[in-house]
Amino acid sequence: MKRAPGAIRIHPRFSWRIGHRLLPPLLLLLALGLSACQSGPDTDRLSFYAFGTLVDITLYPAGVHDLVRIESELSADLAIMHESWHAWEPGSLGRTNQLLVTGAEFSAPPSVLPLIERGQELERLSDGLFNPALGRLIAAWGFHQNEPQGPPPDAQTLQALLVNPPSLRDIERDGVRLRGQHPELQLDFGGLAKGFAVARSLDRLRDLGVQYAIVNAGGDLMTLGQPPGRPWRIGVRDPRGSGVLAQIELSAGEALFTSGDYERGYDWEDQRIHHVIDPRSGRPSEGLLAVTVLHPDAALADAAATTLMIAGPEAWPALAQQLGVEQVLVVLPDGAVELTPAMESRVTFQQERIPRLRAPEAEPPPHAP
Amino acid sequence: MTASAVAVLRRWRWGDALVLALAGVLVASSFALVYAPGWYRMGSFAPGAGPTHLVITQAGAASQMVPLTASRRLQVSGVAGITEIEIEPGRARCLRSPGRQGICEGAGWLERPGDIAVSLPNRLVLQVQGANPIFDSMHY
Amino acid sequence: MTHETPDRMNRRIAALAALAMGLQIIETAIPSPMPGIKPGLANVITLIALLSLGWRAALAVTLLRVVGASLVLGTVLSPAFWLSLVGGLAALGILAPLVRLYPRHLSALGLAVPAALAHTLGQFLLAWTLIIPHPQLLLLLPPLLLAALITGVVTGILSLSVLADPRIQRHVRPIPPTSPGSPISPG
Repeated sequence: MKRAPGAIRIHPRFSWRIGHRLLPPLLLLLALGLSACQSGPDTDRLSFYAFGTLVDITLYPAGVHDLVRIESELSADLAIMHESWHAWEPGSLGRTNQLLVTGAEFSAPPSVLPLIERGQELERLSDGLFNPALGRLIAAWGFHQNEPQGPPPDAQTLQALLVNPPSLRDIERDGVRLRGQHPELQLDFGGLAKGFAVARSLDRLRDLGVQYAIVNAGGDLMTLGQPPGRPWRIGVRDPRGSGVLAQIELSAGEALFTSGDYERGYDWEDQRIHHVIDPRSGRPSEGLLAVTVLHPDAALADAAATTLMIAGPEAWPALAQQLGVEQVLVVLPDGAVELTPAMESRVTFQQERIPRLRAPEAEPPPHAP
Repeated sequence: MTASAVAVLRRWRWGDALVLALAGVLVASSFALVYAPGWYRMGSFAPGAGPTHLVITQAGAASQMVPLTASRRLQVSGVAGITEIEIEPGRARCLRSPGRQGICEGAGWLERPGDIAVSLPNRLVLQVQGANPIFDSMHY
Repeated sequence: MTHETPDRMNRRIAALAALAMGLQIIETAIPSPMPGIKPGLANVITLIALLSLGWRAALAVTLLRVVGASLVLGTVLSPAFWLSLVGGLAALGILAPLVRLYPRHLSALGLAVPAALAHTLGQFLLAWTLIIPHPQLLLLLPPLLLAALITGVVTGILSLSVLADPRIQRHVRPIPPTSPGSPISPG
């Protein structure tokens, strides 16, 4: 057998001279293939301050989006929405409030009209528990400022506010023309605006060509698309601490909103005063620490989370059914967790928890004889 | 194949047995020492259970990753003031932060992967993570 | 100093380095508890180079394979690069005293096992002191050493089998060489 000088026979059957030509391209292919096996985060994260809170955008896959452009467009959009819908600073909502109390007919600013329409529908569905017309009540508790503070309203003030409470039924609507019919009517869309803002931001991302993303505004989030091959992995923070309470996997177009007593509020003489005011009592709601709602409609999820918190530990399952939300998780003051059967299959608890299942069909309706 | 197997066996030396025995002792003792409870504080940790670094995300800036190794204190300045962070091996906490409600401090020690503390006035999120970031987004 | 022409020597070194690079690249697919710390499959080539071509060849093969593999994988000057460099040099470092016992007291197996252990231990120490000085990293050391032991045995057997090939045997000589330029085996 002839061998070229310098050839080495490594194995009798492996002819080095042929292998010597195949080896480099083989190695290259192998290396390229193997470099694809490198693992690492497959998403880009953007975070910026907008809409009065920390906004966190997750984009999939990593490295393909113009992050600078996305951030600037989203924050510009959210700034406009924040100003338009602000409950106490000048803006479209502020002007609307001024015009509503005059009792005269006027044209609704286009940014505010969808909120009013949706709000009226939700008020009907919730039998008035969701009431965005109680801006004066909320302001009385000190929430119409950046850092809420006391003193809380005294008994007489509260009494006066509850005598003839306004609601969205006191707005006469004819197309885009509105007329207010209650002198104390003041709109505050705190429990609805974020849902709208998150959904709009997703639309904006879609316009920018993004296929798979999560928009997270102050912890409340919604997904756009789902990465091929895996669900979105969301960690749920324990409302009473820092740990991860649970993990939820989301697919395309699902919103996750939580209302809690730890979000906005202050302490007054050993009492926790939080921003979710029960329209029936005029005071911060009691009985539930937090409510989490999962639903494809972000505005509904936002409103339902607030409304179910007001409903309280007994009535929330029935009200959830009434509102059309099936996936709900609530946290009670003692740390116990209750959830609907539909939610139970979505949530994986990280900490040792034995949640209780609550299903509205299993319970007698609240007004049964 | 048998020819080369025989050739291989014929090449063993007594030194090989010694080397193998020593290597075996080395590997076995490494298991015994490192996993024995109470040895050098290592036995109390389960492998991979604790977080390995702290991720500081400040709105408008790139995330910073700080390894949770030595004990130290960090200061991060934001629009509302200075947030002080205390780091110890395997955990971190928000020591002091502007904001009347004390939400950041109230989160306590962040010691499990995923634990999070937020300072809204300073637009800051502190999250401890293990080797791989597990969550695409945190809901709170 | 060798009975090879420099040209032949270089070609052999290049060929061996290419093989070693291939092995190192394949190794990246093996999952490791600490990314970058690998059992050291490519050491079989280093060992064969050392025993058949001498120290300079072994060093050249090691350096070429480390740099070459990192160029292909895109890890030049990254922690993975330094880890593989330290691993390769540590293996060579422990072979230095041990190779004097070859071939009378130790076979290639008795060289490969310490080389693999030194490779992994060197990588671990670099990772632990400079890259991630985390106390919990120590927990990874025992399984890494076990993997290295197994790899050492495998590479040792592979080396034995390669070196037993009569075509290679002609180039194998005891180290240090008895006199410059003298072929040892009858050929």
